[in-house]
Amino acid sequence: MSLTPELFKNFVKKRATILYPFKERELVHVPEGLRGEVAFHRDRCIGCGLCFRVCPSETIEMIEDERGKRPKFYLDRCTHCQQCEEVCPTKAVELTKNFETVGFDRREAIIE
Amino acid sequence: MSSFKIPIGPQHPALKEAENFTFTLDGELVVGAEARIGYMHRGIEKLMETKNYIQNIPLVERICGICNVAHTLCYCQNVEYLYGKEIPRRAEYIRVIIEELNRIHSHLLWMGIAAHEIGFDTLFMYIWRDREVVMDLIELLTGNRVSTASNTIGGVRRDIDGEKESRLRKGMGLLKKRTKYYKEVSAKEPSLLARLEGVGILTPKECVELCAVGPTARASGVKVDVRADDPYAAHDEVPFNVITYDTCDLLGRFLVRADETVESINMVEYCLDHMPKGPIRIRLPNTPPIGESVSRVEAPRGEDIHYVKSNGTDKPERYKVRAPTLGNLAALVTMLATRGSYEVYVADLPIILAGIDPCMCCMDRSAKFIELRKGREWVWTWNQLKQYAKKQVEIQGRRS
Amino acid sequence: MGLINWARRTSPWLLHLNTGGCNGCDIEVVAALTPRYDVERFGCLLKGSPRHADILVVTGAITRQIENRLKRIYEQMPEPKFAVAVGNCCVSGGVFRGAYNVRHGLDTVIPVDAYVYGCPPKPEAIIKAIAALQEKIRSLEKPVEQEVKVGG
Repeated sequence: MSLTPELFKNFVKKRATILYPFKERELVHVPEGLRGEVAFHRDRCIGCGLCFRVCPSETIEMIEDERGKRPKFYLDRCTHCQQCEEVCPTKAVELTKNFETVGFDRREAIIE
Repeated sequence: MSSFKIPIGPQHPALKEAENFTFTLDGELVVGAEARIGYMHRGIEKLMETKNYIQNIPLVERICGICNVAHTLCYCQNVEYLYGKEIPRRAEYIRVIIEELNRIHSHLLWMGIAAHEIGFDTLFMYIWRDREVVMDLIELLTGNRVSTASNTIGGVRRDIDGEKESRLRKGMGLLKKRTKYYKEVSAKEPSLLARLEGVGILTPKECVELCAVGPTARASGVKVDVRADDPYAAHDEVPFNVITYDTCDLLGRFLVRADETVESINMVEYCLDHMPKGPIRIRLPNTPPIGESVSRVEAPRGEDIHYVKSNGTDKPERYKVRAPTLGNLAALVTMLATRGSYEVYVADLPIILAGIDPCMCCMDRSAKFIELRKGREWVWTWNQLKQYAKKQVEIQGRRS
Repeated sequence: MGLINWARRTSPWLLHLNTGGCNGCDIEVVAALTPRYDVERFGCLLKGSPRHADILVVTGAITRQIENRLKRIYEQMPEPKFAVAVGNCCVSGGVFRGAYNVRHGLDTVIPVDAYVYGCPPKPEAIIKAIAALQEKIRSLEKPVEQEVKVGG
């Protein structure tokens, strides 16, 4: 058996390519629970610092603002491990399903 | 008889990673080979001493991206041995499922890259199109296609529920059909047989002397597999066969990996049928007791060993990793040179280099001292390095 | 002329270099060439030599041993050339920040034109980066002004 019968079968099958990014965006496989970009909700944060203690890659830095201590995120160092979301007691940090993270300037990838 | 040396350097279309080899040629025959490694050395073991045990899990995962489940499994098992606690049975079954899915994706990746190295791009594109089935399943179960992050100290992080289980079964059925088809093609297709048969010979005696591990050793008839010799996680209950062939060449390695993929698919189906109920994680305190521990795991490329030493704080005192490709490196350098009646030609070099499934990033751990101005190079043992450091401290102490 | 710029923009040839990473971003770059994602729709081919390439795709944390070789490869590429950093280890050092052998990002070594964040980024993100880079080249019109100096 060689690959020739498989070759002829492929003439009648649907194409395997998904024409991302200009068409067919809905066919991209994005399951529930995909570990994408980090989102931070300032109003839920209580400044406990647990996320800083479990982050492996210096993404989180604790700073002070007018409401107390809170984390600052450098998104170009994040490993998307989701350990900060697991340990946060008030769900102030969560990982969204956004995977289209492309940029031309590194200074825009910071959550102040 | 004149000889000529060619370097195959850090950037080369046949190498996917940065390593340097120097080959001595005599016409078309390769008569000698030398490896100069160290381009991928990142200093992971020293970095692990500055982070605590939870922060080290994503760092250990990035020792290698392709066999990342084996490294995190070995690390988490190591630390659990320090605590002396057992994890829930359901967590062990889920660990086996994720590990075998990783093995399926790694073997399919290798089969495609081997076809690409011999120039058979059609088979490469077909295999990688079918590999997307298992990548989608890994993404569904763990959240990312490559870095799974599913093992943690005390169990696993995500559970498998009904809808995920039905998609998993469908995907496994489809992959079993396709992998059996690729195995039949490779055993009969003339272009594959002409390039793979009789190339890259490693006799069983050389295998045992040079400590080769994984499918490289199993294709020479040496029956060595950590899942059967020293079972961990749920491997004492899940049945499987250790696949060996005795052709001792690259065709044997191709067939060993194709058969192991089918065995892994059977193991995933067995685990889904016999999954026990219960919790998936136990909580453990931040600092393990003082002690040392060793654990080993069968990564897709061979046997992976880790060692940890803890001194009662929440950061490890010393961590050591021996990846499978370091075990296969001596066998690789032997395979690349003509010896006796086994001839190696220049055209066979890319496929022999790819034949042991090299994962140089796992491996770059040894250090060699090179003094550029005097042109000297040498290797020291740990004791010699300590003596040198003590002398230096005394000399500088006297000066200050 | 607009024709030269159109030809340059719609057929960017890639050179892929792994500078010491974990191989995760590597296999996503190779997966972008396979049938499901197929970056050849945009005119990209994977080449073996720096002298044939327009875009240098770099993955992996830059180690000290490979830094000089990376600079030499970038100098050997002909103008106009672009560099893309794929993966967080290449952009900023990623999880290896603080190690003794790793540089904190590709822009400490060569000038970078696009960054793809992620650990590792999905192949769709890499395709989006190439499409965005093509748009940036079109809007800059930079290559044309540097080239056309004949008869002057």
